Order: sequence, then C-alpha cells, then structure tokens
Amino acid sequence: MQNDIDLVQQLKSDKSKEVAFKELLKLYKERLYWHIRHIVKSHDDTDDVLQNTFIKIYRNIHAFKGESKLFSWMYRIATNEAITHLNKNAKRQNLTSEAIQQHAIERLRADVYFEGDDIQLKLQKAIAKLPEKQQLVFNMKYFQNLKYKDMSEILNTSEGALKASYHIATKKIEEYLTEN
Amino acid sequence: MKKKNLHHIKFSGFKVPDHYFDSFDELLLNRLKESNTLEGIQNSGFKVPEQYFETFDDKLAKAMSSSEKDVKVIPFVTWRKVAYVSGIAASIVLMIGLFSIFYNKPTFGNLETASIESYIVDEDFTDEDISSLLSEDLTMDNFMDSHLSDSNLENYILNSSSIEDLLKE
Repeated sequence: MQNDIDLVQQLKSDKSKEVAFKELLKLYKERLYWHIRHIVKSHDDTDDVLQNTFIKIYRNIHAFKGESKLFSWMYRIATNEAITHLNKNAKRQNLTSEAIQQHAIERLRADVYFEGDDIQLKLQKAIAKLPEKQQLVFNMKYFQNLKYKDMSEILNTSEGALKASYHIATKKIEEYLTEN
Repeated sequence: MKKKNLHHIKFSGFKVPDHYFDSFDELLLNRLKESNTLEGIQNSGFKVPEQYFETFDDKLAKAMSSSEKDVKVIPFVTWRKVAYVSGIAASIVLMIGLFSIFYNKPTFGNLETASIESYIVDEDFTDEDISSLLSEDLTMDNFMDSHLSDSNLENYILNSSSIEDLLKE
C-alpha cells in the first residue's frame, strides 16, 4: 500500500524518523498490544514485550525490505518477542512453556486487569493446551479476526494449513469446554 | 360467507405440537447453556489500565534512551593472556596427536566413511556378492520401522509451509 511505502520511507530517513515513528505507534500499538496480551496473558508482561517490540522495530526498520506488508513484519516481531519472553520465563523457572502459561492463567483470577468469569478462564486454559502454533492461529483468528491472507504472511504458513489449524483448534477447545 | 356462520367459527385453525409447553423450559435452558461453548464467548476478559495507551509513547521514549546508553566494557581478556593460553593448548594437542599415532592401531572403526564409500564404489561388487553376506530374508519391516503417532502426523501437516503440495501428492 502506498501509505505503508511512504511511512517506511519516512522511518528510514533520519530527518523524519521521529515523527514517522510516533505515527507508527499511533497506528499499531493497540493492535500489537492485544496480539501480545493473548500470548503472555498478564498486562505487565505485555507492557514489557510491547516496548521491546517497538524498540526492535525502531532499530531494525532500515533492514525492512518491503517484501511483506509493514504490518506483517511488525506482527512477526511481536510474536517472536512474546514467545521468547515465555521461553525465557520457562527456562528461568525450569518449567515448560505450557506450565508457565497455565500458571499465568491461574494468576488471572486475582489479576485486576482481568474481568472475565469462569468461562473465559476455562477458554484460556483450553487454548493453553494447544500446540504453540495452533494457539497463535486461534488467537489471531478468534479474538483479533485477522484475515488468513495476513496470518499467512505473519506466520509464513499457507492459508490452507492455517484454516485446517483453526478448525482443529476450535474442535479441541469445544471438546475441552464440554468435558470440563 | 354468510354472516350468521361467523358465530360458529371459534377455532382459529392453529395447532401446537404435543407437549410443546411442557418441554419449552428445557429447550430454553439448553440454548442458554450454549453460551458455555465457543460461540457464546465473545470477550477475552482482559483489561487495560486507564490511560495506558495515552502514556505508552512517553514510557517507550524513556526506555529507548536508557537502553541506548553504552556501558563501558572493560576487557578481561588481554592479548598476552590469549597468547599464553594458546601456547599451552597447542602443546597439549601436539602431545595427544603424538600419543595417538604411536599407540593407536588402525581398525575398521577408525576408517573414515569417505574411505569406505570410495572402496565400495570403486570395487566391482555384484548383487550376488552382497546378497551372499545377508544371513536372513529381508521383509518390508526391515525398511519401515517407524510408527508415527496421530499427533506427530497432525503437527507435521500443520507445520508444513505448503499443505496444498502435500494434498497434490
């Protein structure tokens, strides 16, 4: 898109980088926030990851070649930062990534920034049981309503595989909700 | 229709299925339970602190300026130390090499794979020569001994970057 191209050009120019970066924040910080939040669960962790994401974007925009949409590139960085954050926590506590997620979900009950009831908690537990990629696909489709075409660019997976992944994830989640 | 016949039409013609009202309550409660399935859950439950997005830009600017301050690196490895350690390492390697030359006899296990391969390629072996070395008849199980679980197969397909190519095959 022409707007993307213009914004990237401004971001790559020393003269206009600061102004363009503020525009980038305005356009994308909320969307990236929610994408990260659905991966790491807590607001505080999301805040850390979101800041790291934008710092990485700021420092690496010169390397963005325009082969994908700017949005896809940023989402990819956010996804990787969030997963890295989970894996670091897991390693530090000598637990699996799934265990870390389950602990984070248990803490949601007492989290002031979680206003869901039992069913939302149960949904989070069901999602945490899925393989990592299926979790991403499910969150991106169900909560963020991203198009498969965009998800395909972000996750570097074919649309067919993403649709199959979402279908299977939905089935597994419904089974979990029914059985629990 | 004659006016006097209207007085005889008391029944509207509409009917209700048998036991409809008896089962209505259960039907309604079941529909409400559907809110416990995926379709009924629209909200993730996650909340954001007030003014978070409004103040995020300033917080980020502070984080970026503090991460850009360079920390002075004091090297703990000097060239003198590197040369010293390299010399010791080279001596140890030389000693091990000399030891292995004098005390190791060549065995089949020591032969490099490349040497074995070139021997097989260059020599004129026939199928009968090779089959004579086999002590038992071969079956399919000798070639296919892996059993993929359903979950491993599922993960392989879903992680495949191009599932359409797999389907075409």
